[in-house]
Amino acid sequence: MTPANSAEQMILCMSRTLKSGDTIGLGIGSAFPVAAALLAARTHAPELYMYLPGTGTYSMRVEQARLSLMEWMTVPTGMRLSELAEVLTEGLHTHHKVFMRPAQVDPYGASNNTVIGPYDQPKIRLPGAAGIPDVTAVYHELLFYLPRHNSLTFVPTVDFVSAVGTLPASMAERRQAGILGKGPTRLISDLGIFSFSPKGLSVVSLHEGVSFEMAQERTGFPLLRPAVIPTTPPPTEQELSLIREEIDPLAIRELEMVGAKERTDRIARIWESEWRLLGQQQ
Amino acid sequence: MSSKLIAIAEAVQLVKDGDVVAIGGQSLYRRPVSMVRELIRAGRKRLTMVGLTAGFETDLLLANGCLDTIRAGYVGLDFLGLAPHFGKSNSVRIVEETEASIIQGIRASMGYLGFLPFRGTRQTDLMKVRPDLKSVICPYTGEEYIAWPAIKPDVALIHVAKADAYGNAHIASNPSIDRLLAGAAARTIVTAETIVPTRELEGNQAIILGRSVTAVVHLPLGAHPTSSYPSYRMDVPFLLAYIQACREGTVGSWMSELLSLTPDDYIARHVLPFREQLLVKEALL
Repeated sequence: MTPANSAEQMILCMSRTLKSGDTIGLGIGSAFPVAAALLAARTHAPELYMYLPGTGTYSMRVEQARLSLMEWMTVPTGMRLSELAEVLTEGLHTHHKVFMRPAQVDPYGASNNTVIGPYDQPKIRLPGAAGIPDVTAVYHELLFYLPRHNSLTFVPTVDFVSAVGTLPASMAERRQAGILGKGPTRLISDLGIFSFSPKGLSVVSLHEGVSFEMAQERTGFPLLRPAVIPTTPPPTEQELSLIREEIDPLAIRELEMVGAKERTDRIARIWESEWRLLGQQQ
Repeated sequence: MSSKLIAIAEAVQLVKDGDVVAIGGQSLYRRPVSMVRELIRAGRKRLTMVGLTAGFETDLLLANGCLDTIRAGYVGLDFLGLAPHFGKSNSVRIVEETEASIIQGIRASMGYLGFLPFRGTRQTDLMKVRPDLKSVICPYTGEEYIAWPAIKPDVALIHVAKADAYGNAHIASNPSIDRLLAGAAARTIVTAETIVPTRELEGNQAIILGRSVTAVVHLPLGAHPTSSYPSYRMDVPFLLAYIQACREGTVGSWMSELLSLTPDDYIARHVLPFREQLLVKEALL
């Protein structure tokens, strides 16, 4: 079996952050979180409530990741169809987690999904912050994932603060400003696992083959270095097999690793594969 | 019996230049695309688009100069990437929104309130670009919340799987916030894959009640190229072709062709040849 690639390593790390009894909010167009949730539900977190914003279900069982057929995968096996208003305003009493992929992030976890460049004349106008500013104020655990760790993403100051990070540090100040938690808990990238604090971004572990120097070179601000840096445990053969053959056989996860042009080519191929899969199922 | 069933041409008359138009659905799911195409064909201008998310249908409105303002928490094509025409025109005002801002704004309007609060946005740059926003101090806890102002659409466009002649409507998958949009808007146009007798919605199948609906249009394939579960899936090759045309600079002629077609001709040309691949339910055709 070929060793895990970055996508699979990250999905495995993300999956390990989920526990039975959690509710995981999956974002728009997010393939890694879906794979991570499906893997967790299949292995160590059988009581996992997955909220899928495209299809609108709270699901405990989703057989496989799909691109154009997620409703067919999730609606028949869903537990509850939910209006997004309910999810946002009434879903807060549970242990809610969310995986977010920001366009930019600073050393303290403040993130940007609004514009690259100045707001009035952006270089790139991004889709908008969606629910990120809302959930960063209220969810218990916020997990960032970044498939391409580079210094365009990890910046000393974000161009627009769409969502707060771990600053301000004072819990009293945060509470007064209506923020319930301490901020983002973890960041998982193709280089390793990191954590934010009011002191900055520190290394929790680095994936196999990644040195601190490599990680620092690809980060646009100083990384905090612990005395000992563990190596992230890689996926087991069983976990890899689950990801590749059962959870995401169409390799939709690869879409998060590539740039816009290659993504559209891959999407066309996945569409064909989905069609062939349907043919086989009939 | 006061049926609200009308033809699409009549429904278009319910939307005026300058209206605040709430668009239902979610990213690439169940968008009222045919209805939006008819608005573009009718030459509607100076519209404000309001929605939780804005997708392909809003990109078409932007490309055709129909909007002067856009208010949505997310404007994009989901896994297909950025909306090609978003952020490209200086004459379109972007009002920065979040999911809470839209949801609380619409709920405030439905509840006859001037605002509804939500936590934690004061520390973001959102406050800098929304000078209209105010915050409130909770009278019991002393915490500061953002007071999201009521949003009152003039018209809501919602596409559904089934509706009766009164506008009682069944949605089979993601209801998004369509029930709320229908409740808040002054007028609501429901377009439906099929029209059914009221009895077929018994057993508590209505997500939207007809009391919130002004007009109902029978509009099969009305969400294409977005998904309309369980009637058909999203048309990814169509959307890829759109994105490609935008990249190559040929989208003008691509759109002219699209916008020259009546809903029936559009179905004949862009849906029927691919009905197997799109999993179109036979009963619709």
